[in-house]
Amino acid sequence: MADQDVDALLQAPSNDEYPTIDRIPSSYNPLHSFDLAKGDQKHYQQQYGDMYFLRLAKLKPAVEEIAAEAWGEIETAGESIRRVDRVLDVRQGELCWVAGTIYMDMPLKPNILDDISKDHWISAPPPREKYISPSGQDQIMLEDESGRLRLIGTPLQISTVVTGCIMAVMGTENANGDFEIIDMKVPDLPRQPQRWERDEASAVLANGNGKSSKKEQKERREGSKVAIVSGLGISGDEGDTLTLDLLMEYLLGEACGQSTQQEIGNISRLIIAGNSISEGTPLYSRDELSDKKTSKKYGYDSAAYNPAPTQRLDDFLATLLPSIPITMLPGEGDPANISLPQQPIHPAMFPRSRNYSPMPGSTEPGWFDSVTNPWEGDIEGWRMMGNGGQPIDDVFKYVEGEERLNMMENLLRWRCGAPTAPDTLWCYPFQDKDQFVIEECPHVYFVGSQPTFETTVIEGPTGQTVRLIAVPKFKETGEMVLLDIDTLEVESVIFKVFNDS
Amino acid sequence: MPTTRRKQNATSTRSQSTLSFNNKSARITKPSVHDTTATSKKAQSKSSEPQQIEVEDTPAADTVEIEPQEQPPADRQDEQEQETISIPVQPTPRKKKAAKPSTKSSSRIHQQSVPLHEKILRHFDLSSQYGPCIGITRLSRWRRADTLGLDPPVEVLAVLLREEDKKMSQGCGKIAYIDELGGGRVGIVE
Repeated sequence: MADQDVDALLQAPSNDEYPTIDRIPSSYNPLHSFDLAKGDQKHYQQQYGDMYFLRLAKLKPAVEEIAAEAWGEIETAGESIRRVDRVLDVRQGELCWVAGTIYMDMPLKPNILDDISKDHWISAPPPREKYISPSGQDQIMLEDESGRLRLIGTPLQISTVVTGCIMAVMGTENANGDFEIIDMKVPDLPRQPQRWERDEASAVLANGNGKSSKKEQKERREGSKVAIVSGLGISGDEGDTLTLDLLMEYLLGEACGQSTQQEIGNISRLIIAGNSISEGTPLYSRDELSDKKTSKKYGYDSAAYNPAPTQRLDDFLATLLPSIPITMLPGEGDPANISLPQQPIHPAMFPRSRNYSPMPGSTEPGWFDSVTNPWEGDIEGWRMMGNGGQPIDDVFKYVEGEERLNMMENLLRWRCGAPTAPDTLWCYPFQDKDQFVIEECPHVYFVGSQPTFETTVIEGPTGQTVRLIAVPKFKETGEMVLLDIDTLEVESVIFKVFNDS
Repeated sequence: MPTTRRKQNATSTRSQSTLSFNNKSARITKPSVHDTTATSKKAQSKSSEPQQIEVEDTPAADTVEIEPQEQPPADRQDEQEQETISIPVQPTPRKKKAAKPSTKSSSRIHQQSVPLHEKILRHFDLSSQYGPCIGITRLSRWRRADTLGLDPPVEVLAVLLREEDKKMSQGCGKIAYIDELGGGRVGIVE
């Protein structure tokens, strides 16, 4: 279809009337699962141990059900496998199964002692890519409120485990006190809601009758697409923002010819999955900071502050917003809090784009929705869940190999959105409910700022299907992902600039 | 130093045994499979028999009257010197001194000035199946355990709500005792 357009662009201007192309409206219903209280209501005096307790309390029944079903009736050598309540109740030589939290004891994990050694020596060692120790010093343990049990066995080498995931293991204790595993079970995918389930439920509550009104059903258009992009990496310094401008023109429908523009009119929403701003100014280490003499006037150091990246991002968004609704997730490099769940980027960063945000205090999501990271919500009825990449990048450091899709699948099967969360991934100390526990299976799970574009579909035990999308960094690859809403198929659009050299 | 004082309480039905180190309580090995008493994790098992709980208290202690709307069972007898709370609800909680007659060789002298409410709450604090007790107020911890479906004993809620009421309060802390000792500064504001 692009071939027809090639000739169209190289013609003389004509007097034909071109029909205006309209964009398909987007049906959008976000969830606010990761919103934290604001200001004084947010406390940090809680202990992180509560998070592990909450995760175990939530997921232990689920994994025990699966384990009982799998191992309840097996009889080996006349002995049935017993269920054990606590991790420390396993007996030597007796075949039993128990559920608990996995903890990986790795000597190469970031340690507070490295920080202290930095004070005494020249500098700390550079951050490691993986925490796996080459000499096999890592230990995998199963933990619950009674204690820890060291695990060994072949299933551990086959399947990936990470600190913080809840599992049921079956085996026996050997003479050394280690638990030899024969088999292990995970909670697997939770219940998946039907498409449009939330919208219909709220419509029923609003209308008070059994059927959703026909008017709303008419509004559900077909053929729409959602664009997902991540890692724009806007920094004010660089002159080479040509790919970014190309992206802008493409989404606005100014690029290419008529037929492509028709297709672009099907894109109903843009999701920016994190890392829109790259580090414009270098982060000084502690030693360099004490040497510098900073003059703070009006509360900020004017020599170091560079407003260009956020200004540039604001211009980018404000150009796109009149035409297309945008959902923006913060990422690792964005001006939001460091610990998960990252709260929405404050509207003060976007003086022009915030005209499209909802009024403070209203409950409707606006045209420009600045959301939390991780985020979940309904787009066109499908439940979508996504994050800016930090949980997956952290899980990557624990496991061997580079299979990002594998890690994403495991995250869903463990029912935990950020399993390494209190351990090596900074997060808010939840005390009432571990928000990272996945209670409803999404239809689409996207993760931003990954090295390459990958996608697959995974299936669950009760018929759930999830489309996994690893969105690459736009700054490096120039790729944008288009998700077809009706079929949940994915395609990628690549923006490249020809190099003259 | 082993204590040699004899208990003064004449109404005690248990004879005081001499100290012995062959006792079950002195063992440091893992509890055996059939030991159903010691571990607090087992407190969640569904035993429906009423548990006789003997709580020794000073004769001057107030009788424990629980408001009718707090507790489902209406039959609670309070006696003066030796208070026996029979709790016919299930799952029955193991109050601190329940079901440990074989291991107890002498009264807990260091706890004689601790009011009854506080003893109940301390036992609740140390029940690890409801989660860690540090960094959270006792009432929030009870409510959290209730929301998670862990069936915390409703008597503890009764005690906690009575503590809120200034007239009935026996001066128990809002946060766990060990948290207080450790300098806990949990925000009481909900």
